[in-house]
Amino acid sequence: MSFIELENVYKTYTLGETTTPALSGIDLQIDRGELVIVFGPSGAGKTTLLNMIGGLDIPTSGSVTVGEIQVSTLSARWLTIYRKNKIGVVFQFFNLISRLTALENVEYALELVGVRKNSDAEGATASFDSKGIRQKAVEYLNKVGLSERIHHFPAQLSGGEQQRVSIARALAKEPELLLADEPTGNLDYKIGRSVLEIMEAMTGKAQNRTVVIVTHNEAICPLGDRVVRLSDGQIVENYTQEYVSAKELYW
Amino acid sequence: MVFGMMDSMTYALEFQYEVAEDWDLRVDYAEMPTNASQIAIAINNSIEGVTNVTYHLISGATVTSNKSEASKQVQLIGMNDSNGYTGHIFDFENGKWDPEGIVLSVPVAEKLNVWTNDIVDLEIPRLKNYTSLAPLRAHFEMVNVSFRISGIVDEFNGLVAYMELNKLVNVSYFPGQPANTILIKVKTPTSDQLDSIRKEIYAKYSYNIRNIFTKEEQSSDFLDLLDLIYFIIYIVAIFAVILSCSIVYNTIYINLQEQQREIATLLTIGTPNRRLIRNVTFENLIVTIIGSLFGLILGWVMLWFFMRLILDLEFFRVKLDFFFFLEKTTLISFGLTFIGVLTAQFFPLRRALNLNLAEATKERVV
Ligand SMILES: Nc1ncnc2c1ncn2[C@@H]1O[C@H](COP(=O)(O)OP(=O)(O)O)[C@@H](O)[C@H]1O
Ligand SMILES: [Mg+2]
Repeated sequence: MSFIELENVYKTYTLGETTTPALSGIDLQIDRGELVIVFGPSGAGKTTLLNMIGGLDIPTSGSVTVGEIQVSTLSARWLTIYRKNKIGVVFQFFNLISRLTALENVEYALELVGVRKNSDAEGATASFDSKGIRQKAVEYLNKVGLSERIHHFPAQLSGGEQQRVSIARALAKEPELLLADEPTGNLDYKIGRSVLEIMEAMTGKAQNRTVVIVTHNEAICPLGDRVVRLSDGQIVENYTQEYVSAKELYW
Repeated sequence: MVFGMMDSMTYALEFQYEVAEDWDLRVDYAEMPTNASQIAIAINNSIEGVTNVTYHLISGATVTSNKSEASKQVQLIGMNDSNGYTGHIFDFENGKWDPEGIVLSVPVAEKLNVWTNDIVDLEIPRLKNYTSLAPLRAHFEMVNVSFRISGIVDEFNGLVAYMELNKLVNVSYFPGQPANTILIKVKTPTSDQLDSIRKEIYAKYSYNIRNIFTKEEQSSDFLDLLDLIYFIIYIVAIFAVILSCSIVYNTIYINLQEQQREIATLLTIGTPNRRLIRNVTFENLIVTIIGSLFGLILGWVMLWFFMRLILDLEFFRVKLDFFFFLEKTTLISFGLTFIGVLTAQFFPLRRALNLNLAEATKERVV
C-alpha cells in the first residue's frame, strides 16, 4: 500500500443553485519520500486536491488515506490533530502570523505539537518540551538561512524570506508530509528558485519526507519524482521521471 | 454611576425629611393670609393633639455680592427664631443662626464666592400699595437690601436662603403677619391622628387653603419625582447599552472578519478550535477591561457634568464623595459589556471555525 492513496475522489462545491465539480474521480498513489508536482491550469482543481490530502476539507465522495489514516472519515477534531501532527503546509501568500516574529511563528507551530506529552498516541513524529522548542525553531530557521533575522516581524521580511520562514514553520515539527500550494507563485524567478532549493534539500527520499507541490508553472515540473497533470478535475497525465535538482532547473 | 447618584439623592431626600424637616402637617395657602399668627394660635389651642404651630413666609430673591459677577435666584424663607423653632433643623456648614443675618446654602455661597460674615445684596419684592388685605392683593417693586451672612447650611434644598421672619416682613413692607405655609407638630403623629387633624383644619379654617400635606406625602411626592427620573435614566441606560452593544458587536465582528485569514492559517497548521476560542476570548477580555476602564472614567466625568447641571438648574443638593466608585455598578457594567462581547464574538467566530479552511487561506492578498 502506498503512503498516500486517493480512490475515486469527487468534490463538488455548491453555491446556491450552481454546483461546481472541482474534482471528478481522482485515483492517485504516492509513495513515501516522493516529491510530487501537481501541475495544471488555474481552476483545474489542484488546490482542492491538496486540501483533500491535507485534511483541510473532505471529499464529497471517495476515500483519502494517508499513512494508513482514513482522512476522509475523520471528524473535525481529529482532522485538526491530523493536520497538526502529520502535515506541514506552505502557502502561496506565506500566511505568517503578523503579530509574531519569525522565531515565534516557528515556535508556535512546534508548541502545538509539543504541548502534548503522549503525542505518540496521536501519531506525532516528534514532540518537544519548551527548551527543545526554542532550539528546534532556531535550528530550522538556520537551515532556511535566516539565522540573522529570527527576531524580525513578517512585515520586516521580504517575500522570499517570509516564504522561508513559512517553510521552517512547516518543517520544524518534522511532519511526514509537506504540502505546498504555489509556493513560488508570488515570488520572482531567482527567489522562487532558491525557495525551491531549500524545500528540495530538506525533503525527499533522503529525509523520508513526502512532498506535494502544486503549481501552474510548467517549468517546475522537472523537479518532481512524479508529475501529476490535472485538467478540469481529472488526472490527464501521471508519470515518474528522473529527478532534476532545482539548482540545475531553469524555468 | 448615574444610579449611584440617584441612590444618594434618594438618601439625601429621605435624610432631609427624617431629620431636617421637623413638622408633621403642612398647610399650604393659595393666597397669603395676613393673620398667620392668629391662625396658628387658633389651631394650637382648638385642635386636640397639636403641640406646636409655626409659619413660613416664602419670597423670591436674587442674591449678588461684590465678590463675584454671579447672581443667584433663591427661595427666601422667612422663619421664626430657630431657638426652639418648629419646622426646620439646620445642618450648619459654617456659622450659626442669627436673627440679624441671613443663612445661605452652600451652592449659593460657592457661586457668589462668599462665606460667613460677608455681605450680600438681595433684590426682593417690596409692597408698594395694596387693594385688598384679605386676601392680600398688592403691587410690588423690586428693592435691594444688604445682609450679613451669619451661617452656611448644606442641605437637600440647594438654592435657598433663610432669614428671620419679622425681618423679611419688615423689609418687604408686608402688612400684618403674612405666611404661605403653616407647619404643625403633632403629639402622636400616627396616620389616623394626622388625618383627623387634617379634617378638623379643613372644617374650621378652610379659608384659602390649597392643600394640607403630611410629611410622608410630601416626601413621597419627591420620591415619585425621583422615580420618574430613575425611569428616564433607565431608558437612557438601556439605549446606551444597546448602542454600545451594537458598537462592540460591530467592532469585534469587523475585527474577526479581518482576522479570518489568520484564524484560517492557525487552524490549518493544527490549532485546536478550543485553543483558538480561548485566545480570541482572552483578547476580547483584555479589550473589555480597557474599554470598561475608559467607560467608567467617561461615565464618571459625564455624571459630574450632569450633577453640576442639576445643581445649577434645580434645588436638589447631593453630597457626593469625589471618588464614589460603586462596586456594584462597576461590576454590573463590566459584566454586561463582557456578555455583549461574548455575544458579539460568537457568530463571526462560529463562522470562522466552520469556514472552509482552504477558502480562507487561498488566493486572497492580505
Ligand atoms: N470554496 C469553493 N466554492 C465554490 N467553488 C470552488 C471553491 N473552491 C474552488 N472552487 C472551484 O473549484 C474549481 C477548482 O478550484 P481550485 O482547486 O482552486 O483550482 P486550482 O487550484 O487548480 O486553480 C474551480 O472551478 C473553482 O472555482
Ligand atoms: Mg489553486
